Amino acid sequence: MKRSLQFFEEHRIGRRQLLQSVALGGAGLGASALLRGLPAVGAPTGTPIKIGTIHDLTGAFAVYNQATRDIVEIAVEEINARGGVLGRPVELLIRDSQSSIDKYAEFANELVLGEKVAMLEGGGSSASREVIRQVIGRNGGPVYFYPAQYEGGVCDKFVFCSGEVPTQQIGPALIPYAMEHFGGEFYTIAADYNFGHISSVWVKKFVEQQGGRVIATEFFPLDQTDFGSAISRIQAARPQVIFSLLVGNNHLGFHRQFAAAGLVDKIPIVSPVFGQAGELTSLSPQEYKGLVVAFDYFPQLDNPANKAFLDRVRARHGGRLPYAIGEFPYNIWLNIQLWAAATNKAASIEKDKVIDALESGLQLDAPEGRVRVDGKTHHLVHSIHIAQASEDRSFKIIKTIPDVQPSYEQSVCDIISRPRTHKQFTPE
Amino acid sequence: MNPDEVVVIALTALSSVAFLLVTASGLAIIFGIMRIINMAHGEFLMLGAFTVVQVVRWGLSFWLGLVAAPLVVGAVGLLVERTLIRFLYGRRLEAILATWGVSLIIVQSMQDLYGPLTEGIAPPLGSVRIGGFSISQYSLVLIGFAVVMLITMYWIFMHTRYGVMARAASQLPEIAATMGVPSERINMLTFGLGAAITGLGGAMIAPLVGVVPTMGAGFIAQAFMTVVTGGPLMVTGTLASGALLGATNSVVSYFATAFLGQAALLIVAIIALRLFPDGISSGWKGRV
Repeated sequence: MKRSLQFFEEHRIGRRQLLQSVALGGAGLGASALLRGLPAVGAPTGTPIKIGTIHDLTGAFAVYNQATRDIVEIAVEEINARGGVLGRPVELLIRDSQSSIDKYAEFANELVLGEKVAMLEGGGSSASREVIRQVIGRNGGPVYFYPAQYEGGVCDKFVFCSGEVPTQQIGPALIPYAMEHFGGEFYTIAADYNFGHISSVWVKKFVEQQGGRVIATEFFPLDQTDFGSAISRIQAARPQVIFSLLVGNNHLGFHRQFAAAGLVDKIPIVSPVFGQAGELTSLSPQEYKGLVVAFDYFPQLDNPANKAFLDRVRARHGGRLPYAIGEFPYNIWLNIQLWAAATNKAASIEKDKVIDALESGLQLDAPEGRVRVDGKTHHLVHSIHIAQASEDRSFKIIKTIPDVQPSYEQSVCDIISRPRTHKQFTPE
Repeated sequence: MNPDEVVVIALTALSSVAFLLVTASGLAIIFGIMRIINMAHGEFLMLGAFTVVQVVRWGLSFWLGLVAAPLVVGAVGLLVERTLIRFLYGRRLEAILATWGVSLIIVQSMQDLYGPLTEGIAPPLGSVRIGGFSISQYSLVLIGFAVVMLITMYWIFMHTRYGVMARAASQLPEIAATMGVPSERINMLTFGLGAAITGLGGAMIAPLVGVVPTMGAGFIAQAFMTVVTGGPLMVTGTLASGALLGATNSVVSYFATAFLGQAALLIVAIIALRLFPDGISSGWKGRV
């Protein structure tokens, strides 16, 4: 009885969801009609393989997850359309962590111990990742995929991080670009938790390595809404460029107030985070003008894999994209594809064999370009694209750097030779 | 420190105080007169912000939105009072729980209506240079808004029949009842007025923050601290605590860090409440 109630709780049908389901049903009919034209692929049969995903579909962090439900469902549909995993259908269990950290722990425990999922995918903030990682560690698995760009250094046998790390976004991309185009005097503004603190250490390292100077680093609690003093302080310091590690909706106020003070044209901003929470929709073009970011994925990427990817999303929404798909939902999709590919390669859903398959340097042709698992570090070798926010509420890609290695992780972490590693390295 | 820096610190502090006052004043009314702890306060702010955003989206002027916001949110307040609050007078814990439920309902309804993301509005005015600094004209206008809001509240509670009766019902309820003050009607109007002022505050800060259905949570703690530290006098008490806490936060943030600014605000509030357990204005001779 309790389980069926839980089922209804997780699958509340609101008006929007109902409309989406109808559209999906229509698209599904259309898609299956298309698939019949493909060479015969055996429909998956047998006991479904359960995988679980935990994300903030509601609450303060819902803005990062507009595309998430669509993306995870699309990923599983694609896999099942290709014959499933080991010939068996994949069953996706979606959990809404409601932007609340304790829900991450609750659902991780439920999925790992109760549902015994073969793979866990999820987490947004670094805090949520650490909660899930602890649950995984206590239970010796299953394999866990974390999608978000983050402060780097996780070195854990059971964990794979598809997100970009500072030695990919910050060191080789954002800092050289900023130093070349804006100058070497930096001012860092960061969210006040593990991600902001560790990332800002990386900013300082890379800036100093490349001949610049970080004038000051300031941390803001996540509920900070009034940035008046901070903006005055920044002006007193006279930086040439601001490095922003601000997170969440309350910090959006910084950009509003910064623009109100007439500073958008005076001090450029670069960020490895900005744009993932729909900032280009909430802010007006004159408020974010010229802001530079670097990610592994943008919807503007022009290649057949990306076009097919976006078309699948469009098919669910009557031919249009109802939201911008950034690197976060893309990495979520990538997580599920990587797991499926590895499981098929390993010919087993057993955790150790799947991990071995991933560590063997699994490669995928993905919408970002070619992606490769770096076996020793359990991170991905990514293409990094530098882009600038433009007036039409999208990012224009200005430079692409292919095959960017997670070099810090490679220098400290070798899970293949030391398989009992379950920690996070930090640069101090 | 050169003179332009002093001026900027002072003006920034004033606009931080104004920010605090416009987001807390409505709560001062509701808590001050009715002793209701309104956990949906943040959501009234959010509704006011969304009202002005929607008005601007319809192509109308921002200033018209500022007029619409208190009307819309005031109406919502009246509705909430009639359907829920009026059954909860004197029952503080139930009021907290009930208004918490109202807050959840409002947030989810707005998420269903608008989605998790909304195109906000940029601040309507430009910036002004002060020596080596520039500050936004809108943050200065906000100071003016706060002054107007407080003067309006003062006038309502001192010079209208409603205001006199509301103060009477709050300070000496038995005597007010024997004098024929219609307490039910007064409470309804008070909750509606508190909601309207809160909605106006939310509209005033909309060009400075990210306007999303969950934005309310970021303001409720400081609003409560300001109101409780302010004490029984809704206008003068709130003004005093808003000035004290807002200026402390702003100045400490400038010379140290934003985190220490928030910490300083808390410490000052604790000290003030230790010295004046019923709030700063508890010993004052003023009437509102």
